[in-house]
Amino acid sequence: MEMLQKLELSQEERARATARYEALGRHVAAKLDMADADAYVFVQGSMRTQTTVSPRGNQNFDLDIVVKLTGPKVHGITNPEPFFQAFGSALKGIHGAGEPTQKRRCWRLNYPGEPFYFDVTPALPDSRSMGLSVATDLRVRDPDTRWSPSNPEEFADWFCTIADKRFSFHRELREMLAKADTQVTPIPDTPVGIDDILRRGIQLMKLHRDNYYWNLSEERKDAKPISVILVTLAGHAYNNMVTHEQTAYSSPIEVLLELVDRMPRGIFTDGRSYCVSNPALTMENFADRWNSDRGLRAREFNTWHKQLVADLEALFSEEYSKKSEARIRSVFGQYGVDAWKASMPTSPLQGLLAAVPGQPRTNPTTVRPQGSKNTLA
Amino acid sequence: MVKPFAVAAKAVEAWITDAGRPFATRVESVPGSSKPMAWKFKVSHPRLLHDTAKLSLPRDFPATPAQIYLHKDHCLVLPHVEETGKVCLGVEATPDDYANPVQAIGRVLSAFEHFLTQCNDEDWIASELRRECWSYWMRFCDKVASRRNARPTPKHLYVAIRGLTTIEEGSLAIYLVGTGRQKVKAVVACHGDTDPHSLARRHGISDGQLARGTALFVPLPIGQDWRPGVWPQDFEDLDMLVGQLSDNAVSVISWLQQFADKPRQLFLVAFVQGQFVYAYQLCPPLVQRLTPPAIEPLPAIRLDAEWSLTRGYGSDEFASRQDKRVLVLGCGSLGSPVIELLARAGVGSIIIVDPDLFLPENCSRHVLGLSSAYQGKATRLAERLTREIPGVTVQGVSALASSWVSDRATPGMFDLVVDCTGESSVRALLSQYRHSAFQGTPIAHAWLEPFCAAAHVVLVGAADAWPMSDPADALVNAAEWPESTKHEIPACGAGFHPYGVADTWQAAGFAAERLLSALGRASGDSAIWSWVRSKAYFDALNVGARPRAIVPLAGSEQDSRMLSRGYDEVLNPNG
Repeated sequence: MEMLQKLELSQEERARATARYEALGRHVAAKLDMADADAYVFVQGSMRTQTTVSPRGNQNFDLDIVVKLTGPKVHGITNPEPFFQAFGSALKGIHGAGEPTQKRRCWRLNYPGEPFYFDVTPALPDSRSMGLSVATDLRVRDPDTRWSPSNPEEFADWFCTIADKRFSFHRELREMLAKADTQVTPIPDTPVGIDDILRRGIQLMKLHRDNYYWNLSEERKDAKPISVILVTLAGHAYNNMVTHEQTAYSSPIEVLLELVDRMPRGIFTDGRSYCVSNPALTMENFADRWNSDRGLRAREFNTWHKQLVADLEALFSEEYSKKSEARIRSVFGQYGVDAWKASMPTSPLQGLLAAVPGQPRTNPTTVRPQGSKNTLA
Repeated sequence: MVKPFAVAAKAVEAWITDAGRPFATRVESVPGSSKPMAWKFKVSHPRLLHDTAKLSLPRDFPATPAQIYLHKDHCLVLPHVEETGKVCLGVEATPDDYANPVQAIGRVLSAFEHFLTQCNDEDWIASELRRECWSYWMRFCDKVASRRNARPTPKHLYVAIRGLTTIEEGSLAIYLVGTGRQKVKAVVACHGDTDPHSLARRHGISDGQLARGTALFVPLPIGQDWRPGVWPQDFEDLDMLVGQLSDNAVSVISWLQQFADKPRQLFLVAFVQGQFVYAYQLCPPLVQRLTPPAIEPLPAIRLDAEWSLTRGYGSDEFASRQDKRVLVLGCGSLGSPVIELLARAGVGSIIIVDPDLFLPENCSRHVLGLSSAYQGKATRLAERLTREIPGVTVQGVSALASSWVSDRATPGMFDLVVDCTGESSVRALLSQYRHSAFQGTPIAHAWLEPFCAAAHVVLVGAADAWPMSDPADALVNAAEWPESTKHEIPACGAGFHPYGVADTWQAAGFAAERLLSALGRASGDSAIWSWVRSKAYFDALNVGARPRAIVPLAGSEQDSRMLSRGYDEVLNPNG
């Protein structure tokens, strides 16, 4: 569990990302000739729900940014294309961000040299005026439907409310730790810092998913379960357990295994079509595409989910001390191993080691003297 | 089955019984006695005190030639006559003696005849006695000591001399043992300011109750006639000789009178000729001034560095070595024998730096042993060498090379720095401290290659510094080695290299020889010396070593070569 905390952006990196997106907001406002207050920048997605997972290899964190534009300048915009393109132009020339590239609903800024990139989605308020049938705070460009409703903040609020609910053994654990300060009692065996079962569980699932699909065909990769579905299903399952079975579990591991086991229950299906509703916007079906791919995504979800259940059970049925590097690699890949290693007690050294100047990150340009070893006495 | 010795003895017996009967008579022995067969025979010679001699057939004749005995009174009168009367004729046994034992007796009798002929010449007698006077002195001492009225003398007399050129006073440390009537177990005598008790303590010969005494050291010129018959026989002779040698500047009587208030003290007069000491113990008379002191000649053995380490041979080179100061880093399987060799070669001052403790498994290839378990290698070896070897100051420091070099070493402290750690980090350290600690001092790095397949001594002259790239593997070593040749043990970073003491001590001898030559050289030029086994040795290891050009292609596993390479030539192979 501790290893999952290593999967997130570090505090320092998070602070840099925050500084970056604040600068981005001011830049866009200036470019579009708007008041700063009219360009409201916020994060959505995994950073908002605190379930980020660094993708495999040297890829960077994907941070979803929404720029909500208000005020007279954007009032009454009806055609999404010129608005989307104008926003794209406004993203040019942001210090350190690199050239924006166009995506389906957003613009990507790569921030070369940073461990993250931004997917910046421009959004306009007041969706009702655009003739959409539901009321949401925001509308965003969609190449198929012109405008698409969006409510990332409500979704995130829903999730966070659930994730902050705690099982009773959490409280016991905390009380035990508090007591440990004042009297000599045995330190609990359970690793500490595993407060956030839902968020950590989702990170674990994402990591497992990314590793599972890493070597598979492009076609299958495209059909892998998307994060928002995992978040939704896990959120429902956790909410159910924490609300109705408060005392049924004795450890976070049990909660996690049960949670994963229950996730498929959140998929509503009549055998032909599937539905995973956005809990904050019930008319939106996150599993919409499952219904137009002849069952590919539904099958992928089932296959992957079975593997996840099997792997988690194998992993947690072993003693903690027996969790070998090979075992973790097979389940979560090298990044998981790195994170696991980084969660080891040696981690305090990492910062010091990183502070050594001139550590070769790439091939050194000159020969470094290594000394001689075949000189004995 | 008749044994060869018996066959030979029978033949000799038969011959004398038959042909020799008119001249020799059998010396009868108790029946069944194991005494050798012997015959007496008449001999007539003006120098002889008695007219009979004895031919003795050793029990292992003819492996040992027959012996001629004169009366023992001839000892110290005629040369080559031992205290038993045995005449040392210098006849060697020959293989033919088994087949012709009588001829072997003939050779002995011829040699005896030749000896008697030479004894007609007074000068020959004198020069022969002079030539071997040390062995006659021992006999003289024994003979005098066996007198009924002989005074008690010390069991051992040790003398330390260094650079004695004029008559000098010295002091004695006397060690008494026993209760009641004590015996003198040992006496240590030194001239000048050297304290004999410190010396005795240092070398572990200070057993017993300490008493003090005084000595007079008298150098004898090489040309001075010194032989039996010339040696002082009594105190007057001795006093006269000292007076004569000092142009009457020194009188032993006057010298003794200074100590009249200490009549029971022991006094010694030590004549020094060449490398040898001929000492007399002076015994004050029971009633002062009534009679002169009695004198007892004493066999003395020297324990000073010059004698102990060179027997007086090559003393100029040795004297210069005694002034050298060497720092040795590392006291392990290479360092410890190298240090021992440097000390025994007479290097005057050695500082050993090594942080390690001696452990039982080090016995296999260290000069120390189990009595040093759990003690510092450097300090224990220093103690041992200090105790065992004279004339060298050895100091052991249990410290890391790095801290000692950094904290203590200053330019001019040493004539040579020897790195026997084999560690890259120490070579780098010495390069870094080249100027601040060792300006002007040559630095030698010695190491072994895995399996002791080669050994190298890199002498970095005062003008050079070993490159920080540490090209020992790349440019000096005789082979490229596989990643790990170490034998792992279940301990962190530990392990050992499988080579034996015979391997490392060969390398130590190789290295020490070159280090001594570096110490003796006036020029401080850099050089690289290597001892490299033949290719057959590398191949037989079967570990994937890749020998380089300096490895000899010819020869068996036991063969090797030693070579010298130019420092610049090795370090800059491309010119």
